Amino acid sequence: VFRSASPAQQDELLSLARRQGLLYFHQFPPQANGTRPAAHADEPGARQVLQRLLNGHVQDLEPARPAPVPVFDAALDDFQREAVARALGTPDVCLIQGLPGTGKSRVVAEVILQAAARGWRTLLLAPGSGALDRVLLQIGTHDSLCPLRCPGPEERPESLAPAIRALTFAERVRALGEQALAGAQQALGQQEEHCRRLRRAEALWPRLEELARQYDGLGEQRDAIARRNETLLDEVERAAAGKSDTVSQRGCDTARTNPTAAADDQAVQTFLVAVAKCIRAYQDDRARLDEGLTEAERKLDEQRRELADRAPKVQALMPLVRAKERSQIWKGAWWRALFKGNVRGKLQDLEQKQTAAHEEIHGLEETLQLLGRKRTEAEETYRAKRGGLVEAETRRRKAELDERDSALRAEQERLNTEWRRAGADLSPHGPLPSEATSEAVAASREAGRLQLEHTEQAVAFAREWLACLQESTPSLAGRLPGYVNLVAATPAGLAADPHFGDQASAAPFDLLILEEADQVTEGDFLKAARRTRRWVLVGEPVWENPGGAGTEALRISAHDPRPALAVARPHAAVLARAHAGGLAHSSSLRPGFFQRLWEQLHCDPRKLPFSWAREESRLCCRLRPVGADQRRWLETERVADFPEIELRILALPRTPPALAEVVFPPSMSIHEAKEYIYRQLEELPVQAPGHSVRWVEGPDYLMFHLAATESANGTCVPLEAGVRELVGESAAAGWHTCRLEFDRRAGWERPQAEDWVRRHLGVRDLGRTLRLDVPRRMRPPLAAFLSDLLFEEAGGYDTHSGESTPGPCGVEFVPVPPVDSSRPANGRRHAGPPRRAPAAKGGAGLELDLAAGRHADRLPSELRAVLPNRGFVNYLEAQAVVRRLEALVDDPAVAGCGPAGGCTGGPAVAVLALYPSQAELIRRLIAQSPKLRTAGTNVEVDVPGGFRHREAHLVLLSLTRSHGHRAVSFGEGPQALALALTRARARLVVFGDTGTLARRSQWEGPLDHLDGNAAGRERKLVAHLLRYLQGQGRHAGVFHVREGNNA
Amino acid sequence: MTGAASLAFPGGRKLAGWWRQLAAYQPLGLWVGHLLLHHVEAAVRLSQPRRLDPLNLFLLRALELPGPLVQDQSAPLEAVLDRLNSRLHVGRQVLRQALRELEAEGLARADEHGRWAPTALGRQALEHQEYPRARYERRAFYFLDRRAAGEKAESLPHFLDVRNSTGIPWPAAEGAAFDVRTLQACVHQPAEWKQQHGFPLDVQEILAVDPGERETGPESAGEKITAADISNPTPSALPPSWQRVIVDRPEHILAVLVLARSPSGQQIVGLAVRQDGWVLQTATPLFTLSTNWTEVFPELAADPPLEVWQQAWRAWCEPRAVPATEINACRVARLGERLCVTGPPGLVERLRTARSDVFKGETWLLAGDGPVRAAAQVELAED
Repeated sequence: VFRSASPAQQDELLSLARRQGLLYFHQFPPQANGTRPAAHADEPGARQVLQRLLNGHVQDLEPARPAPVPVFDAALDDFQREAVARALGTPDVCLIQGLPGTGKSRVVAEVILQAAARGWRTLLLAPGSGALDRVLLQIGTHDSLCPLRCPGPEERPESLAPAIRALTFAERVRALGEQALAGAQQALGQQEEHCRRLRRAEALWPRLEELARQYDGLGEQRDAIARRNETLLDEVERAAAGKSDTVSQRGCDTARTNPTAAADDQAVQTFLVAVAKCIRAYQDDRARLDEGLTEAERKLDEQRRELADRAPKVQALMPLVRAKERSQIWKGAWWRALFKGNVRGKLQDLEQKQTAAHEEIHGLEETLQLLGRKRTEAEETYRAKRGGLVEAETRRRKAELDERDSALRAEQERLNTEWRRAGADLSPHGPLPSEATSEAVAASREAGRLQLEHTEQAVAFAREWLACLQESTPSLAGRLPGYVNLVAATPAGLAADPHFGDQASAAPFDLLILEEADQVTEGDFLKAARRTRRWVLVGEPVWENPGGAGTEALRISAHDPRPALAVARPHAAVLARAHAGGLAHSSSLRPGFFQRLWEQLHCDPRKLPFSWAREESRLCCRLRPVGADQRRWLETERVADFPEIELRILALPRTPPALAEVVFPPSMSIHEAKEYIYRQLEELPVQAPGHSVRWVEGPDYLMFHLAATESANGTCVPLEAGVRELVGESAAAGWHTCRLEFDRRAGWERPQAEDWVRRHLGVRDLGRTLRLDVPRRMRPPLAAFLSDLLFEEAGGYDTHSGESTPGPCGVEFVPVPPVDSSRPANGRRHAGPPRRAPAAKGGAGLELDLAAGRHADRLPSELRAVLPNRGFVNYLEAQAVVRRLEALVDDPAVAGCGPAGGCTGGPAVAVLALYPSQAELIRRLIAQSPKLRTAGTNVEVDVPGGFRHREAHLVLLSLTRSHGHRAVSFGEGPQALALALTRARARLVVFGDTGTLARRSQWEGPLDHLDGNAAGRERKLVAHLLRYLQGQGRHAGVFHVREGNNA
Repeated sequence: MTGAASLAFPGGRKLAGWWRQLAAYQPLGLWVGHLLLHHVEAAVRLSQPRRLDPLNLFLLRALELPGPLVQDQSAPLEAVLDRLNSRLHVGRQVLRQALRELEAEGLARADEHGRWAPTALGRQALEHQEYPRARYERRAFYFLDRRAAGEKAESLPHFLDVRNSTGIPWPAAEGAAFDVRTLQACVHQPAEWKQQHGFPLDVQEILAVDPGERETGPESAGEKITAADISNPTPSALPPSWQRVIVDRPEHILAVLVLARSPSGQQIVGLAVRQDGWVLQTATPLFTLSTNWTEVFPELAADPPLEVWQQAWRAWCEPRAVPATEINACRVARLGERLCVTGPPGLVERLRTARSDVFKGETWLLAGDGPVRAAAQVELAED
């Protein structure tokens, strides 16, 4: 009921349910009476969207604005990232378009990985298996994917590449069964062996513990020795001082058991005795000297005392003697001298005694000094002797300790050896102790116990898992479809698949990626689309348009916001390509819906009707295209207040006149002209060279890009508040609009800006399409040449944004036979001025039709036998190919190309021939070449179809045909030729008969097996190639003609 | 229901016929009732036991196995897959998807360092080899609403385990709004209650539209939910809001309620009646109430008062031209399923003369004026 309600009713019902908590049945809208509801209950809503899109109803489609996505593949450029974001962010459909080699497959691979990361299931569908396998080879082994490749009914598993075959259901089941079983058996064996080793190691732990204990003891002893060594001098000093009896005591203890220790103690005793003797001698000397000193000091004291006693007497006699001698009778002294009698004699006696005492004192003092010196000497002698004894004892003891330490170290070494031996017996996976200590052993033993326990659990697990695998592999295989999150199939392969095909009841997919969508019928797409919720269609633009019935440009008027629907491009070319790819469709099931959807969903600014040109020195703004036949209806008027501005009005009969062109005076710049038109005419005449528009949201500005690349000399044209137009000029595109900018600071937000663009330009980016233009496979020069040769109508490559890789690149043409055989055979190349046009009357007639016996006779007999019975060969051209190949394999750029050199996805060199017989002939000649046989360069030879979705660094293309007089076709048709031309990454060498090419370019109409259209396309391609041969192509600089002997 | 008086009830002969049809039930009593049912359809979260398949079982066990897998400080997914593959050998791609499935089922998850381990549910699954799996589906629930029948306004609709309802939409049920909380309350009842009332035990939650929720219709935001989603959703993903809308379709059904013997005592068996032709559908009971029937139909527990039966007898007699004095002289008494009427001889004679069905046991009376009325077989005796 809900689905059958209109969106408005649905909204109303939901809001009612939110208010009431429930809905009553009578509140539902009445069912249509006899009419089919808007959607059938079993028809998912997404399909309605799809049907509306396919029917061209895009007016109500809301633009998708996907957020940027962090990608896995860091090498993706901005456009590829944008494509990924759009593919993932679309609510319904997303179309990605790009010429060959623009990285579509890489985008697809990234989208698949991103989808897997989101838990989505993806259906990858392509009309041919090549596109599928190319993607699968990139990401098939990624962990996040569980891919399944459904082989088509026509595919045999053994014909698939091993990496692809491994992704088929049968191989996956086999792998799940056999490999898992074998792996489980092997793992069980390993775990059991590990377990046994750990158990064996269990027995080693006691021995390791004992060794560790001994080692610990030795270590302790050595530590004690080291500590004693540090305090040995103190110890001996203390022993010499008689303070330490430990030595003698220990000596007594050990002497009883250890002879060495006894000897040691005897030495200690000897030392002690010697020290004691020394001390005694010193003490004796010292006593004797002290006694002498004491005596001398006593005598000295005595003499000094007597001296002091006599001194007053002398002093007293001195005046008396002086008075007597001077007869100073008047003095009392004379009289006292008189009464004393012989004072002179007494004085002399006293003075003699004093003198004698002085002498005695002097003598005693010398004695004292002598004795003091002797005492000092004795003490020094004692110290020296004692020091000598101590030093000798210390030396002795240190030597003894060193000896013991050495012994202990030797013991440790022995234990170490034994430890290592025991450790080696432990399991190599076992927990070896980090060091020979009891703690480390205990820790390791505990770790070992745990490890054993874990290993036993692992063994039990492995045993049970093995038993489970042996019993229930089929049930595991039955789970496989549930795990698959990427199914890659062709439509036929999918339909026939038992697990995901028409008969299977598989859950719907979240995402459909349709590769080569331009070659898929709408029926096939719709069939797959029913099973998916979103659709990403990837394909090539229509790039072949032989009939000249080009697509009518999208007419958009700024006053009519609804874009007129473009007439669908003719898709005969696509049909032909599909036919060439082995697809046959009835007229009602032709491909073409991709291009139709693209036209409806993609906003191509080139379809805007505006253009700018210079008429002499005046700028002319063309507001609508005016055909040459319509120009006579143009009427000219001057602007009243600005007569220098000329208005050209198209006044077709029976049609209202319309302003068609505005011509500005030479004095007005583009800036002023644009501003004038916007302000006065309210028109926004935008001429944009890009294929796509793109919104870029910056922090300050919203930018609406209309050109892929920016112009260096751009100028800004303010249009209104916060809106400006950035205009650039280039030689190719003239004046063009690079982008429109909307200033966020002026209040512009994305929805308003989108609305503004829609109102003024009539275009809007629905966010569901993205065109890839940058050549990822081939280098810019080559891409530029191919753009001109093949893809001119499809817009070509954006060769400005590609990375410029060093090394030789470009296109080389080797004429067979040589154009100018009179020149010296030096193999010089020529590029530059136009050459003489090749002969128009016919080719050299070098081709051989193997079906004609007389032709085959012109081949060497050994080759004739191994070549097929039919097909064209050109022996001389094949030889030229091999000669050129021999020269090129020496090129370091070629020789170094391979996976190691960063070249992936194909061989270094591909030799392509338009006919299988010619390819076989070249293979044989390569096999005969000693140089090529020994060269390490990876060279593959095939027809163009064998290289679909593959590429090579260097491609040598043998056109083969060389008819003597008439125009002939080249290979299967123009598609095969284009395929061959687009396989090279860097360098393309084409071999051909210029005369035959010239003859072909002159023939119009059906030819050989080609119908009129195909023949016309081939003729156009050949004629374009011929122009390059004449030096007239747009990118003639990258095109070289090798002259001489072709080598 | 606008009023019981306007409801149609079968006549006595029809009741007599039904009584004979119900012989297999060994009926002890009979009632006829017009029931208003809320047929409520809601999305529910179910919890159903799911057995672990071998790979998931061993994968969970491998996650539990000690080893570097759990000792790593950080374990990037690649390392985890390598370790698991070294134990299971089924390939990293299959393991990645199996891990994703375990995660989606809530059996295992990675912590912030990327180390994977079984969740509590995963450990429970390891222990019992199975686990309760959440899934969503829409289920129908029936609630008997007695309010619209003029009963007490405060009485809530009562859950009824109805099967094979043949009810017809009842647009006149505006007065009987259904409160979603009644349904939600049933989910929170104890298991005994659910078993007793037949409420599904596997229903864990009733999902409803959150009033503050943003619109997620089938076409909005690019989320297109197909019918497969509701039946096989990712366990952790709620159905979109439009599929969580609870829908009430009020239905009216005429039912015969039979008091019958059961191994555990007595039970009420509800049988639907097609009003067009008064066809009793005995093939499959509409519902069966065992011990709790008095809770659902309290009026069945007590027989209507004799005055009510007297009134019913009077109503039966009046169209048969029985004089009021004789009617008033009658005395009624209940005896099992029968209504014993003792009347004056004149009355008995009158009816006998008129060859009344009452003497053939074909006369049944319905007592009362409510939507559910007791039925009794009349047994007439002379006073």
